[in-house]
Amino acid sequence: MILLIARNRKILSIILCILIIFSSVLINTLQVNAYAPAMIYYGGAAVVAGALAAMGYSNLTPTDCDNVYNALSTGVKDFIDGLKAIPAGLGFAKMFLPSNLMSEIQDLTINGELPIQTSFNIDEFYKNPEHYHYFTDSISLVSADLQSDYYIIVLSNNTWHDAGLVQTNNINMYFTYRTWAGAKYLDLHIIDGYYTNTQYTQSGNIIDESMKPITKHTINTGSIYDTNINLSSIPIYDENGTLIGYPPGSAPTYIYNNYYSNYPVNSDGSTTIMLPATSNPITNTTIPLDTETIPINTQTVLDGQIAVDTYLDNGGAIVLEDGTVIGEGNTVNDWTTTNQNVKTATEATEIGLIETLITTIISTLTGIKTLVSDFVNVRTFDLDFTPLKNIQLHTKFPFCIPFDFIGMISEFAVSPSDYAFTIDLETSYFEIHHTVDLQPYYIAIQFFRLIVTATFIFILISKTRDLIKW
Amino acid sequence: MFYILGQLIQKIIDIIGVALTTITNIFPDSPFNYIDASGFSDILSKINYFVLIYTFVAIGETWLIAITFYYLGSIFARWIKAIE
Repeated sequence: MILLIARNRKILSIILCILIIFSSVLINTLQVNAYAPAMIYYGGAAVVAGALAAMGYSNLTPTDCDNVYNALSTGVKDFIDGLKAIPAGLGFAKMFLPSNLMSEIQDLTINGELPIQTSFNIDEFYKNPEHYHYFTDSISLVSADLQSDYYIIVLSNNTWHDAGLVQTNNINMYFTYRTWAGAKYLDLHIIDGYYTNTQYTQSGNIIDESMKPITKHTINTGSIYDTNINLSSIPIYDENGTLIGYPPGSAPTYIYNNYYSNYPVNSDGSTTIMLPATSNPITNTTIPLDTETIPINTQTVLDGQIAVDTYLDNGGAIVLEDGTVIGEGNTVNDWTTTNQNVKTATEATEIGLIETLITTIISTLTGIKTLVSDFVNVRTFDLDFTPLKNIQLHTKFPFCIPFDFIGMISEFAVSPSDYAFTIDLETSYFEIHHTVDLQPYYIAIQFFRLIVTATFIFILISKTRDLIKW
Repeated sequence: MFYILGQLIQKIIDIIGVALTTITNIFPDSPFNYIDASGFSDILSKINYFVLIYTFVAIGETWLIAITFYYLGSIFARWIKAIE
């Protein structure tokens, strides 16, 4: 049959036309390029006609292709529609999946006041020979000050462009902004101005002295092309005090470098400039002193080096446990180890000679007793192995290998935390913060952990057989 | 007496410690101790939720100790000629 088709040139040319028409319909239906099918259609038809004419067949013209197209368009389109239906057919797979996976994400929040709905019509690039892009937008604005005067500036790729003044009365506003080819990110800002009078100019220059920015509406048009225009040096800051750009020179000069979101308006029409809040550090110039006074003529129990020294400095005398009298002006060293429960003396007492002798004999005998007891006291046999502990052999290269290996593995050994599968998306218009519930899969996760641990143990057992050769 | 004895032994320990420290300082430092996983604690904790690495470390250390005891025991058994 193929040979039959190849020998019959008319059939072959018809098949070629069908293929060209089919591809053009397919591309047109999938909306890849509005003009590509025409180009392919006419171009292909021209090629076929030219080829056939070269071969001596002049009776197959584009008109014949039109006839074939009309005859087959219905069938081809039905085929294309069938192709489109294939993704929808995958919906049957949803029946076999857990319902919690297919549940709609409820954690969806809409951000921003405006625009909630807007429409964009971007003209085709090639229609404009100068490569400009016209962005038309139709939005609904409600002025917070009910004055309905808007001055439009456009932030594109971090530079501002003047779009001029638009007046409206709380109705749909239609404006056109032209950006240069290459604008990458177009962010439209509309500054709602508050007027105290109606005098203004429409030249795009300064409008009115009392115009103040009150609200800012952002429309994110997405990434398109790069831009290279910067017209002004007036900085604009956002509510956080962060510099966000410089509006064009023709913007109102009284756009203050302050917050312009929920900008307050006083009853007399003036506005309050809200500067970033600053806090003065609190400094303490006086440092309270922790002092304690101990009366001299009382008998109290002192405990602690500071208390003892303070008492001695204040003219008191103290008596230690062993009976030693320490007069004023002296110090007691190493208080915590030897001297406890010291009692104060109202005054330094005079001790008699006999008492002195007896005290000396007692202290000498006590010293001898201490010496003898220390000699046979096993508790004095105390060894310090710190010099051996400081060798740090495990930090030196040949001997550090097993320790470093264990340390490397231990780096991965962290206390486990409950895993949470979260979906966080933030865009200019909506936010999604959703946590997928893994409770239905808890048993599966536990079983997986068991299998992993059992596998590890099996590996250790197999290695053990190699080591001990059992 | 015990005090003097303790001081004597302490001196010996100090001398041994100094000698071993001097010998140890001849060897180079370990080149493998520059691992810092502090910035990945969140990821590692989630990994450990599925793959119990901290359990593996504990099991591995116990296994190493058991193997060590086995080898020591086998050496001792060979020494007393209980096994060949």
